[in-house]
Amino acid sequence: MKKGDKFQVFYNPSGFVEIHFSGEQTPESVISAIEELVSWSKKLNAKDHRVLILADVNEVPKVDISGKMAPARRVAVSAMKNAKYEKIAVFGNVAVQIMVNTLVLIAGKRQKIRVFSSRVDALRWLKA
Amino acid sequence: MAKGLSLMEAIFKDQPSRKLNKGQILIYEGDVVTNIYFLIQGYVKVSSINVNGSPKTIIIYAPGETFPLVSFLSGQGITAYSYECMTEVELKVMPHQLFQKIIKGNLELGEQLISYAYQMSLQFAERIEMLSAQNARHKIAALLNYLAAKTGVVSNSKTRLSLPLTSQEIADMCGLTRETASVQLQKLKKEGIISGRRYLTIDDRRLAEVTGG
Repeated sequence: MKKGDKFQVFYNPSGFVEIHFSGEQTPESVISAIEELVSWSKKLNAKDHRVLILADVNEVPKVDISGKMAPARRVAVSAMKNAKYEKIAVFGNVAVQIMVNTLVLIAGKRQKIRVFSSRVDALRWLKA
Repeated sequence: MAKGLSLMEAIFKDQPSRKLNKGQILIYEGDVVTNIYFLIQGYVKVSSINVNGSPKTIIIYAPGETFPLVSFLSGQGITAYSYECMTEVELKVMPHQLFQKIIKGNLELGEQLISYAYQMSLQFAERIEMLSAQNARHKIAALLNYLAAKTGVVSNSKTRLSLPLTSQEIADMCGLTRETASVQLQKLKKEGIISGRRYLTIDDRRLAEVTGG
């Protein structure tokens, strides 16, 4: 990841799209990351590939739960509801887990999106 | 939302209530979260067990609070602590499926839940840090500060705790032996920082000098 980048997305040869968030996020960076994931899901769906996503939020030092990030949370819920994917596994600290899990409940996608504290647990579920 | 009710009160308004006795365990460590509770009356303590087998109280839930939201919303919905009634308790109970159904599509409620659960997770983290880091005097002073904010009624710069506590319960909440907790409580009483027996009254200004607040 280049210095100053807030996230990076790539296709892991193990068969899933991987996204790494790094540093404090802004509404713009989160929305941009979500748009990139939606774009990946469209590309993979077009090729009839499974859409599995692994999101690493471990390197985000502080989770901003303020109203400033509300637009990003709205976009996240909308993408969770409308994008075509098989599974999304997220891992990060407790604050990340609380936030993502709540958004997942709002989107009603608890079966398809799970949150973990470690990469190993996230991968185990994602690839099961 | 019904007028005059907090968001959580409104959500739980039509749910059945349960009365529990002091000492009754509501949730055991390692249980899967199946119900969400709204506390109407009484106090519930959240504890873990030390490596030597003795209990250590992490936080206390007071009337108007909802639990175990942090466990429900983090990880895989497994509780990492036990929840025990410290007094007689009355609470409202909601199955987690219904709770999920209410949240679904409700971004406004979701925003408030994130904020509430996040604040609770900070309380957990602060208390765990306090339990591991400080000496006995500071542990007790920090606990009294926490209890004053959580259960206290303020009058003339003094705070009376609404929760009756024994030395053993204070010791458990600080990860100390009962003997050490008793010695420290006696010292604080001699210094005029606290008074009373089971319902303690705290001199807020003098306690702040001990906690550095």
